[in-house]
Amino acid sequence: MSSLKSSTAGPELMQAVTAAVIEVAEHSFSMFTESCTPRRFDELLSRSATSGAEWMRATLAFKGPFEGELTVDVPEPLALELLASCVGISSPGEENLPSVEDAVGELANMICGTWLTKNHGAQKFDLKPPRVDRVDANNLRHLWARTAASALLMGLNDQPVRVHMAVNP
Amino acid sequence: MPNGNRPVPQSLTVLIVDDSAMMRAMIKRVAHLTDIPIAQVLEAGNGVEALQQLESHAVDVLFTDINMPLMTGPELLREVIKRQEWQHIVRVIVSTDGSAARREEMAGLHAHAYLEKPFRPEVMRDVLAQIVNSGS
Repeated sequence: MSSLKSSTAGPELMQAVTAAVIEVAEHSFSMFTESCTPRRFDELLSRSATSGAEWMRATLAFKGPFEGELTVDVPEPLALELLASCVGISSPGEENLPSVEDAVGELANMICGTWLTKNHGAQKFDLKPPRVDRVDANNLRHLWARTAASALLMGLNDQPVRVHMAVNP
Repeated sequence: MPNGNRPVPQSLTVLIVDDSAMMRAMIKRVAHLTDIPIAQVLEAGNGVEALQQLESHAVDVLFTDINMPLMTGPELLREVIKRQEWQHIVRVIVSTDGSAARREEMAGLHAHAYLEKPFRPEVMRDVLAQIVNSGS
């Protein structure tokens, strides 16, 4: 979806997506959330739990009266926390156990759905299944460079999360 | 809450239909956290798998997502409506899409309740409690 323009991510959109992240993180995952300055985000990045860890990227496209794409980047230690907070401790041998990829994908799904419902609730959208990829921590800065001005920098339980919404009106 | 002519059993058999294993696990966990007696929790990753489960089990409550591969939630509900022996099944939509248009569409497909994600555990407890109480 390279034709999407992240330049449309104005202050109102960013504020609305931030509210969706907070609602999802607090209601579904019982996590403490914070909006970060770049400096605070760098501080969270350098923490021992996150530093050098592999990251996971969920990408979710949606279509309706307008289309867009949400990208959520989380470090794997946080993905594991997301999984544990929802599923709890599973019994050995239990079938159909979700993976950390499922957890990150569902986080993106809920953020996107919450944002659409709260801000465009009169209209109907179709959300594609989220795609989840693993990302080497060394490639993050390169990946983030193109959307640096329009990304949301947040903290969940003192771990960094980067969210980007691109919409094509 | 309409449940057809069949009385609601004391212990429920629940079918959770969602392409996200995470959501299925979450709903299952929350359902077990309530004080509602649950006999069995079945799972399906899409509407096609759900129909297979419905053919082989006596399901009391169906939780279904909307957007799924192979067969969506609305397509599944259309199939359930066609079968007389499944009319007693309580149908609960669980979705991030809480738009008025979607809610209206699901109500037209005889959905009994609509849980908008993210939801708090007590909301699901209330839905299940309503189902049990309606049969007592």
